Amino acid sequence: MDACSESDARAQAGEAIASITEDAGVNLRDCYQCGKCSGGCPVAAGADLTPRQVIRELQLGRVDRVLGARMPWLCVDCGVCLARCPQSVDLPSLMEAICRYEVDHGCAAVREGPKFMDIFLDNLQRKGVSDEVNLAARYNIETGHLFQDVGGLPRMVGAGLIMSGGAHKLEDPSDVTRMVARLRAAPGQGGAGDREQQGNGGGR
Amino acid sequence: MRIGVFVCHCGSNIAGTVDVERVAREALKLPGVVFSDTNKYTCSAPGQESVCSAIKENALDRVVIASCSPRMHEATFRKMIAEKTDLNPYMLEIANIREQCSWVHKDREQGTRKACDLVAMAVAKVSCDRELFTTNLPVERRALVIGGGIAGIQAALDIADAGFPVTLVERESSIGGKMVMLDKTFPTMDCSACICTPKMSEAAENPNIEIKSLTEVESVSGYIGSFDVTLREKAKYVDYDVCTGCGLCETKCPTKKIPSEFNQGLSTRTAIYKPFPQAVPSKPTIDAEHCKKLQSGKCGVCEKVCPTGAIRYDDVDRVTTQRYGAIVVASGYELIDWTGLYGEYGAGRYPDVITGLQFERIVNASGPTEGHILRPSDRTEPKTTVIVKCVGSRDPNKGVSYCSRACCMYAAKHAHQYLDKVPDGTCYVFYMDVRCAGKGYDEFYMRTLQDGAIYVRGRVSKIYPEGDGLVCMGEDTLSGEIVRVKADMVVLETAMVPSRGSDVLASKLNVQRGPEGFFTEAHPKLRPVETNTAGVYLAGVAQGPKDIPDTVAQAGAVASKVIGLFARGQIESNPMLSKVDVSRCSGCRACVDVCPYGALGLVQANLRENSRKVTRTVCQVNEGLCQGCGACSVACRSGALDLLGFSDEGIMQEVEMLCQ
Repeated sequence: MDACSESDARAQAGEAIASITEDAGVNLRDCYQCGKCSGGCPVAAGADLTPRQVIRELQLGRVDRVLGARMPWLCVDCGVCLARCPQSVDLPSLMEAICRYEVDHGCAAVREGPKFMDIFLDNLQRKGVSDEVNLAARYNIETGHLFQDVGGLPRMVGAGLIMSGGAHKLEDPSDVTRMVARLRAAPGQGGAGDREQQGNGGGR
Repeated sequence: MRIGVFVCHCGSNIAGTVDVERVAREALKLPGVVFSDTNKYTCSAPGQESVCSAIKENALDRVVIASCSPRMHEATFRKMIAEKTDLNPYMLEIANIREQCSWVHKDREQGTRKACDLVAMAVAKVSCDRELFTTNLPVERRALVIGGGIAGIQAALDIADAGFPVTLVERESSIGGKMVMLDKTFPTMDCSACICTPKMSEAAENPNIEIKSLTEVESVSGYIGSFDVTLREKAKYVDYDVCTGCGLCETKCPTKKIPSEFNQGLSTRTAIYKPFPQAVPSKPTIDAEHCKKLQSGKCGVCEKVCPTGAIRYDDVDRVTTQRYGAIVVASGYELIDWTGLYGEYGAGRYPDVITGLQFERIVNASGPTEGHILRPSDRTEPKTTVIVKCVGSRDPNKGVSYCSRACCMYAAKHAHQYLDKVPDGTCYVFYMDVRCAGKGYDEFYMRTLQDGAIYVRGRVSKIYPEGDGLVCMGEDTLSGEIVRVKADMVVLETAMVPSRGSDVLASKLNVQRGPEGFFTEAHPKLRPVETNTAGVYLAGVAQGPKDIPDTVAQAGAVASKVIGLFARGQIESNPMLSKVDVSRCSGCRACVDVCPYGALGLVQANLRENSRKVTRTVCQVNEGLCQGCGACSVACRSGALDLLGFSDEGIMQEVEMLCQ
């Protein structure tokens, strides 16, 4: 990459990066690229970028590569990277902020991610608890992964884990409903308010 | 009163932001000012010449130089006035219009106005200045060196070689410090012991050097040229005058299972012991904590076998006080205790995760494995070794924020030594940066790469046991791949931290320490071996992490400073000290309590007040101890104490001028 395109990219990306890092409370300059985060990351081996590379791309202003990456969506928020980071860079918050930015701008790199959250929150809002059968079914249908994990169904039914007639609803879900609704309506949360404009959504 | 004002351009340093000509013109309007001038570089030889001739031609009796910080050139200009004019050198004030004005302002108008104010204040203060005179204080030509590592040994040898007596104090039972534990030294691979032990015995044999082992500094009082130091020499339980160092006691001592400090816990020692065969003094001491006789009264084997009857179970600590003219702090370092910090590396639970210093002992021919590289757990030869750099260093989260400087090189040395002794072995080095600034250093690193060491750029994230080995997880940040290396042994190159007790030593010596705990030099560039306490000098890692060549160079520099002081034989006193007006002193003691140097005391004085003789308690200043800090003059309720050169009157005049 020549110097000009590097600097052009920086200028354009500046705003997006500022918004992400401010949201996450992370100073990108703290990172000196030792890779200790990635060495211990439980999902890095299966991801497209390592956590270190996510920061590196942001340091260089190449926000496009980060916004298109799967890594932020794969982050399970375990916190190992932060615990070991010599510079105390809050990577879990950064990953979360990237996802949130993508959702808010309708450019989620992993379309299943926001979808999953959306269904999860729908469930929670309606019933007060997570109804996993409903969640799995809706998720498979809406994402087109029709037969994902279906193989395990007989065993789960046999073990009484699902379809055992358990009450997948709170007696009075109104408190939870109100909380979730408020959360989804809050600006910058990728909630319902944003979704109407963006045609995409789900909160995290 | 005839005041002259000289405004310096300092090239464009000042003139770039301050209109110096206008400052000089404005100065002429100030009361008492009869002359003003500007100069391109006032500190240069022609600049000084023009100031001196202006003083003579205009019969000036007070001088203001508006230039850089007084820390920079006040002494230069004082010396100039003293040597080249008839003026008293204390009739000079410096207005700092560089550091405190031109360097911090961008706006020329603002900068110029501030410079005018600063000059006006200096003129107001110089009007109140009085002539001050220095006296000469004698210097005790005897040096105390604290710490018997290579820094202390070298400094002691250099001072002693110039003919001055030195006391070398070491709190362990032998001098030699860390260097004598090392196997080889980079980049030349000299045997460390072979170049360190001759220095140790040279120090022992030098008639000007007195070695005090197992000794610590108890207290320090006094000032440059005249420090009174109390030393506590711990009980050794062996009479060194009688002991021949034959070593029979060590072979017979029944307590044999004590981890050896010298071998970093990789071997054991007895309760009566010499830490290593070449120890200096070459005589054993009894470790009272583990000695059966001293703990329970039952044993006494060493006393029975000693052919010269040198054992003294009733030995006690000896406390002595001696006067020294200069003190050298060479207290060295420790390695950071990684076990308490790095849970991800096993926190010390895995025996085959060792430190660099342990590796030095393992690879050393006189070490616990006689130089064969065998891992501690099962004494087998590790076929894969992982070296982890920056453990503790550059890790503000868990360790220290600074770089320990020597680790890059000794990690390369360890890789080289391992590959040399285990030709079919594989060595990985996890690193963040390779810092090899030094003569022959980068060449050494390149040679290690040629030896076959695999450098992986990344910090190890976790070490966990698997089978009979260890797995190191990390990222090769150059390829972005996550790597897992199955290792038989892992060497952690841990950070250097100030030696234990540095804080206590610093307060005894009244020397400052930096945020990382190392002793602070007087100036990071221009006074690297002096401290802000005159007469106390720094050598080696006590001042900051460094390798052996730098340590030895610094020790030599310290010696030259001490020899210079002793050669002069006397020092000029600082006349800017506290002065007490006994007629106003009520003897309230407020000053005595605030003085950080113990320079103030109360005395019974016979005074004449209102034509009557009275005897009252009043304060007295010890001019040798007073450092002129001014704390007492602030604390004094009756205004009896004043700081010469910074009189209350002068400072009030400055404030007055600023408020006009």
